Amino acid sequence: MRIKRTDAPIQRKLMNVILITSSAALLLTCVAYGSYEFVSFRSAAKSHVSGLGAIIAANSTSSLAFDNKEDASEILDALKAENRIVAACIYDTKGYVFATYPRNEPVRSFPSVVTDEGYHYGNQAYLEGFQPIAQETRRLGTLYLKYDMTSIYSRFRLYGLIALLVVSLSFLVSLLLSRRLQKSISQPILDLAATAEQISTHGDYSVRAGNTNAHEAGLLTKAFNHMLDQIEKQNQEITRFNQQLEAKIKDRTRELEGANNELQESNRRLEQFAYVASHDLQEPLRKIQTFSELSEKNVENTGFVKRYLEKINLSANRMSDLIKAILQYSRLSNTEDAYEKIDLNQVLENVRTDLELVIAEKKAVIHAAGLPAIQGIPLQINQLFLNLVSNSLKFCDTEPLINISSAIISRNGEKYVQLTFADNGIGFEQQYADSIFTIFQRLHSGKAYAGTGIGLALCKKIVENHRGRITVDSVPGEGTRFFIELPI
Amino acid sequence: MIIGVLGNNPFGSYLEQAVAGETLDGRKLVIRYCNDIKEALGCQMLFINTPGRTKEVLAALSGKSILTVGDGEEFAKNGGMIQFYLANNKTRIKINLAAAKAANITISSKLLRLAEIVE
Repeated sequence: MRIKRTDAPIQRKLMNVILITSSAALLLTCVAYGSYEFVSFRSAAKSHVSGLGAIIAANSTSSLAFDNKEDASEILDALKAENRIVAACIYDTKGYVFATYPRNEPVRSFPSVVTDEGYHYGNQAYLEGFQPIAQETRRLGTLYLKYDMTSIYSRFRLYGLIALLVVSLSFLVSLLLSRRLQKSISQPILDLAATAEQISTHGDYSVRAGNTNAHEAGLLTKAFNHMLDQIEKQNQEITRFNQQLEAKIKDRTRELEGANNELQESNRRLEQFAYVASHDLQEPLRKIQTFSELSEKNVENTGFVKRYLEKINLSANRMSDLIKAILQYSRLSNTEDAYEKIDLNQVLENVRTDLELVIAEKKAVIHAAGLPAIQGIPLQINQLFLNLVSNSLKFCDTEPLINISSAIISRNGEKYVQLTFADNGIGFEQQYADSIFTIFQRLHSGKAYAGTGIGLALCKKIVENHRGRITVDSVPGEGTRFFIELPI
Repeated sequence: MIIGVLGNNPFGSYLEQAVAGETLDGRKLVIRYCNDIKEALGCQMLFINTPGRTKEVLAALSGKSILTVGDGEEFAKNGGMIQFYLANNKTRIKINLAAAKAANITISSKLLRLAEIVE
């Protein structure tokens, strides 16, 4: 049944359940009560009639014994008191009608034959039957009674009508009550459904269902909210995880790009290296070829040959030096030596010892005060100092004056040791500041200043190995300053 | 239980046949034909058929607990307890209630309803 269009299906269902249940219970009660009443009424009517019959039979014995019809009729007349007895008669022992009630009722309207004793419900809403009339054990006749049930039946119809009225009325009352009471069950569920719908339409997991007072529905709501909590938490975790993943991917990409750049740079350097190396190596080789050809032509002239062989030897030595330097440089690229604590004062002392002859020859002065101790690879740091000092000694036309100082600087929140090598050498144009660190790049011809063109490239490589950097600041004719920064 | 007949027997053998096999309160019904009042004293019920002497007989039985029955005219009026008579060709009874009471005999109200009461 439809109560109101706006009611949700669950409300209608709940109300239907309540109404059907209560109506069925009430109807069943009415039917059961009615049936019981009907049956007991009928049996009461039977016993009432047979009781009346017993009285009439007892009173009419003498009338039959003395064949007194008038008296029998009088006795039957007493049935007027019970208006539901519509007909009665007394038969004698032979089965002839002896007396009737009402008196003028024709004899043919009574059963012509006395049948079984006892009362039965006839098909015309009458209760009728026979009852023996006897004095002691002697049978004197039979009594017939006809009892009208229609009045009782009409009363039952009235009962039915009343029951129908009661059922309808209680149906109405329970309709009104259930409309009000079902809300306590349906409202939380409807709220829950509304929340669920909101979530599924908008994908918003932060909403929560309210109204948590009814027991089971409250539990449901709580469980639902708990589930939402979990989902939201998981969602957040997934989002966070995603973000982390993205950041990680970005990092990796950046790292890869870095690595790629490094790789490209190293590739470029390698190409350059190969080009320069082959170019530089070709020069002494060409000399060896030329002088060996000349030696062959002038094989008789021992003086020429001796000079040529000297030149060949010089070129071979130069080649050997070049190859050694290249090996040294390439060895730096894949060094895995362990870091150690190095006292730079001690390093400088070693360099002084190594270059003792040159220093004495050029009357060079090296100033250094309070150099710190650092963490580094001892051989490489030694090489760094040696190369820088010998570089300053080499490119100097006057008596070399080398000043080595140190300071602690801070850049981007990291601390560095800054070493400054300053000299009074020939210097160079600042525009060559980058190319001097490139392998085999030389600003001066081999004749003016001897060298392999590898020394400063080695220095740069060593500093970079130590995650530091090297820069240069120079003025031609005045001097050069190298700045080395090494992280602490 | 003895039913007596005093005087001439008007029933022939009919009375004997009527009581044959009958009992009352478990006692057998017996018919006795009495020649005088003395013999009649042992009966519980006595049919009196003594025309002309009825008054005398009833006087003699007065006070005795014997139910007296007769069909003579004025029988009840003369002190008999139950009198049969014919009316409209049907047997009817008259009952002298005082006489019965005097003999300490109670008569069923059912019977009384059908009877005519005589003072």
